[in-house]
Amino acid sequence: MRQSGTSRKIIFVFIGLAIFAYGILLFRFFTIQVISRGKYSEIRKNKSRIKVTLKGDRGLILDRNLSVLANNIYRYSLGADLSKIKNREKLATLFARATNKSPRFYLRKLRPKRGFVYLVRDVQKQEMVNWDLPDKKEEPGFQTIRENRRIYPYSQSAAAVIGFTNVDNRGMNGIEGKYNSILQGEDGWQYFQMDGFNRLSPGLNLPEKLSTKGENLILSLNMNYQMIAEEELARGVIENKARGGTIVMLNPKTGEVLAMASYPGFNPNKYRDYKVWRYKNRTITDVFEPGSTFKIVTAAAALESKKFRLSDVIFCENGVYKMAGVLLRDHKSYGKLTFKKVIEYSSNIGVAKIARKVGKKRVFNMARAFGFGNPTGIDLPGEVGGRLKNATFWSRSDATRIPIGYGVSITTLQLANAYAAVANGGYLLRPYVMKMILSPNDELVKEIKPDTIRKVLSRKTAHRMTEIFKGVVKIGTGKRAALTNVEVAGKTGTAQKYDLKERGYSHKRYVASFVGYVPADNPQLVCAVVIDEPQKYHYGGEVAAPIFHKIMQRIVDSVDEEPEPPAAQFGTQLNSGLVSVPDVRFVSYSKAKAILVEAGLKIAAYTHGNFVVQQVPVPDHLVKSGSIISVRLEKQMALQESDDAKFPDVRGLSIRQAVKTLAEYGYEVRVEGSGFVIRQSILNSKKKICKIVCKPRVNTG
Amino acid sequence: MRDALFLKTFKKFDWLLFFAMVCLLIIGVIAIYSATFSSGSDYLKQNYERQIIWAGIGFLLFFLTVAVHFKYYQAFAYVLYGVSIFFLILVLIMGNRGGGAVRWIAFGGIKFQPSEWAKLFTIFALARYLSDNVHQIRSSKVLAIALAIGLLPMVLIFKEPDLGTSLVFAAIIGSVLFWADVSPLALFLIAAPFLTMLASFNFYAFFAVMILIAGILYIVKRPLIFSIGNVLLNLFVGIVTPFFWNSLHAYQQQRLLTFLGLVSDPRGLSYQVIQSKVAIGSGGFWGKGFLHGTQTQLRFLPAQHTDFIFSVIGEELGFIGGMVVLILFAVILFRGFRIAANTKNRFAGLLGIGVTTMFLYHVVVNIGMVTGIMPVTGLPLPFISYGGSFVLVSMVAMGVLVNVSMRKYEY
Repeated sequence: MRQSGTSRKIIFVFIGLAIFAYGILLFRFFTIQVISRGKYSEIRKNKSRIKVTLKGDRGLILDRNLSVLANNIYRYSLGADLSKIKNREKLATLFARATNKSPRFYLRKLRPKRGFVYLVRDVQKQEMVNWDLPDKKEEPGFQTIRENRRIYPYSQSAAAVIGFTNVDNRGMNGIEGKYNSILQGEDGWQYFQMDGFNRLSPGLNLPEKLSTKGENLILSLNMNYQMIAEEELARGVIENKARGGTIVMLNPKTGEVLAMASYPGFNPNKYRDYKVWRYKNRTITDVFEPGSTFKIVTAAAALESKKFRLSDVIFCENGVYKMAGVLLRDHKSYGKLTFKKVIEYSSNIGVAKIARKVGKKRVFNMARAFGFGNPTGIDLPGEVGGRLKNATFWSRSDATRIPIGYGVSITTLQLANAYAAVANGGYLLRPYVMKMILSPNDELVKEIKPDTIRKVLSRKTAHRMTEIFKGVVKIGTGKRAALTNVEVAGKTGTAQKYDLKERGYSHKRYVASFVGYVPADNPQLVCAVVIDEPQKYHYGGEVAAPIFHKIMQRIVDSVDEEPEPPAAQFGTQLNSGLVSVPDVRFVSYSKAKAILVEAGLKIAAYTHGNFVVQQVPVPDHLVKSGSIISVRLEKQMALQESDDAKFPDVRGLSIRQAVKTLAEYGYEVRVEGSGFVIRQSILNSKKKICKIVCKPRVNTG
Repeated sequence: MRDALFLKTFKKFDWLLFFAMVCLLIIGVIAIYSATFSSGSDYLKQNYERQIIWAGIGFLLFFLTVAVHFKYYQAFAYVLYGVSIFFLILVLIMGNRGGGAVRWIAFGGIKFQPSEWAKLFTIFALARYLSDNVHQIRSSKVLAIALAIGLLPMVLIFKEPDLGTSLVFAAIIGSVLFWADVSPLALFLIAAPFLTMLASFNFYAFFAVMILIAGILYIVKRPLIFSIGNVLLNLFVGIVTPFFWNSLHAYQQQRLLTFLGLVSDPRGLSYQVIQSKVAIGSGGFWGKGFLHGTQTQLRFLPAQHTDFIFSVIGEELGFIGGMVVLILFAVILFRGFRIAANTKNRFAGLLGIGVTTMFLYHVVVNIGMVTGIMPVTGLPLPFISYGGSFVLVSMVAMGVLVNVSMRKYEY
């Protein structure tokens, strides 16, 4: 048995240890609670209150008919926090079922042990309605992220003019960039009380500042014209196997830009998929040597200085003539021509001779007066001024070449704007795109008024120039631009491109252009068409004039469609609420019209035919009621590949899944290859036979 | 006769221990009420009621434990120990089947945690074994068997995994063996490699521990080979540990730490501790008042009604409230040590020291964790933290202490 004496001694070891430990605890407790109290109280405040930024909605961008060009939409991204996921297989299965992709696709994404992956990005709420998504409680790793995103219902149309916003919803290019500060709402903030489970509740007595919406912009663009221009431009570029092309359409009386197209363009909703040069608004950023369209300068200088009259005769040397060391050629050999005919037939020799008589100073001054060599001052970012040497530095060959449009470089907008000056009777205007600023409550904040830069020509000269340009279309090089019921005035241009390698003008690479205005005697529209490196033909009259013709014919034919809404109407129209665009594809035009009218929308067709095959904005987009839905008509109903509702996208699926999915849509499937579907096409849309091409998946990394 | 004895014994009832325990239980119920007051869950809100029910059952068991003479505990020590080992193994098997950490066994609707009971019954078994073999107490065989008795439940619990609870056994084994007069040197040398392992991450700590080991070996004058062997062993452990640790991938380290329960916090390592410190610190001297602690009511602490309950007390009842709790525990601890020191019966003395050390360990580690000087290992605060099993075990252990206190002069 233990003696109590020993026990007592040893117990002091325990008591000592206990006192020691207790001492540390007390000291710690005391320092935290009493001495450094302030510090922890401060941390507490910071920890439990967080400041949350309230994003101000960005203003809308609308065209002159109040079609919404840039809208805001909530997009959802679904992802997973890989370190928190409980059941990977289940999550993958649920997503595979929701999106019709293979579970393996998601399992591969979910394989890593940590980090975050997006499973589905950028979907709208409506799309997710039928998805069976996991509950936050049963799958803590599953996360939904809501983003306020900019959406461009017209996709590619006018993309370079409108621009886009980056991930931070900040305007980058075009109008979005130029007027970012106006469009951008003002962010507000609010304090939230946060609890230990990171749940937020607004702090009631804490200061806050509400966000304000950005202001809305109404552009001068007419999306109907814009889409017609874009479509015909694309067709023209493709038919001529050209590198690209640009179109500018102006209202010559105000300087308003009605359409502005660059092809190829980009889709601002997916701008990351494109190379950066595609973002450019090439009507203002890229220059070209104009060739004959520049003869407007020489002709105007000659008439304005009264050195020539329209009836003066000039000898055109039968097509070949050497002047100041420059060998000039005409595309046909001409003998004696009147001044008017020289321009109508676009004789280089004749114009050079005129310029020699007028004098380089006058030609230069006139070029300057038309705005060449300087930016037009349009309200878009990135505009260049082109190159126009001062007359004092012109060499003798310059004095020969510049009057016929070589040795200078201009933008498509400058070209259109110069012709607009002739069309409106002699005034150079500052072109503009932004027409009105509306407050978030749709009150008019500011309206841009036409801005005259200078008087270029006398009314008389302008009238004479128009006479010449009418002749160009009637009997000269621009016959193919003529319209059936409206008189056109215009000028063709064909320029060889300067080849840096060969240090001379190329015989293969041209720039073909046509610029004109209608109606010739009371011009409403100026349109410049510039096609870069057409392969089939290269004359402006053969390449650009037909495009001009097609565009203008369509516009003139449909011109009775929409009278311009007066400004007073804006408020009521903008306030009248949002409408979800119904699907009118694959129905007859009359039925589509009925559907749209019933939904409070308007219809504008921009092709001839009976069936709607495409519509912009696309179905389910939210638009202001009263908006115009543009539809494309075809004579026959053709099944569109892009219409995934009717022909589901099975790319990436296994053959089994693809066949199953297609069978659900009633398709008979022909299979080529094995593995996973890489291509799909319809063989016979009536009998619903389709083909899928498959390939084994080697490494999809 | 028995009746008389019973009454006579109860005249010596240790009212002070009983009073301290009742006060702590009341404070606990109040703190749990506050900690779960603002939670959205009805289940959580009823926790304080459940705690009262547990305490009620606890009082029954407490008085039962007090009434039965400790010699019966000595007689049934191995049986109780065997039963708790059986349940620990059962938990492991069921846990493996479930595929996650399981520490509970459910009987009907009632869950109980065998590891909590195993603490008490391991004390019983060690006390029995060490008092039975008092005459060969310094033999290595007795030391080995005693260690085996203690380490078996410790390893089983460690495998659950529940590092926090298993470490309580280290404290119990150490104190009981030390009290039983097992060679202190042997105990020290057994503990030394673990100490070295911990110290090896800091050069100075490592150096100090090595000096300590060498110094003690020098003082006790054991054969040179024995001393050098021990020093070399510790040196080896100390050098290899950091290498081994660094050779692990970050995620392996993380997993190991998580496995050990050192990183139980998904929102970042120190989230709980920072929140706890903030809660306590913002309480100040007088506290913010019952149900007025912002950190508590906004539920900043994930385990605020269980392991982190002390931060609720610190915030709402302030330094004063915390001091009251610490003083009440101090009463129990010092009284416990005094009882152990004065008890004539060896078995009863060992029970006393084991139970008191268990309480000491829980209090120091829990409050140390809440105030941020100990790693977060998830150890509850006796009588105060919410949790049925631990309330019952604590009250039964208290019953044992009172039992011994009442009969400390019996041989």
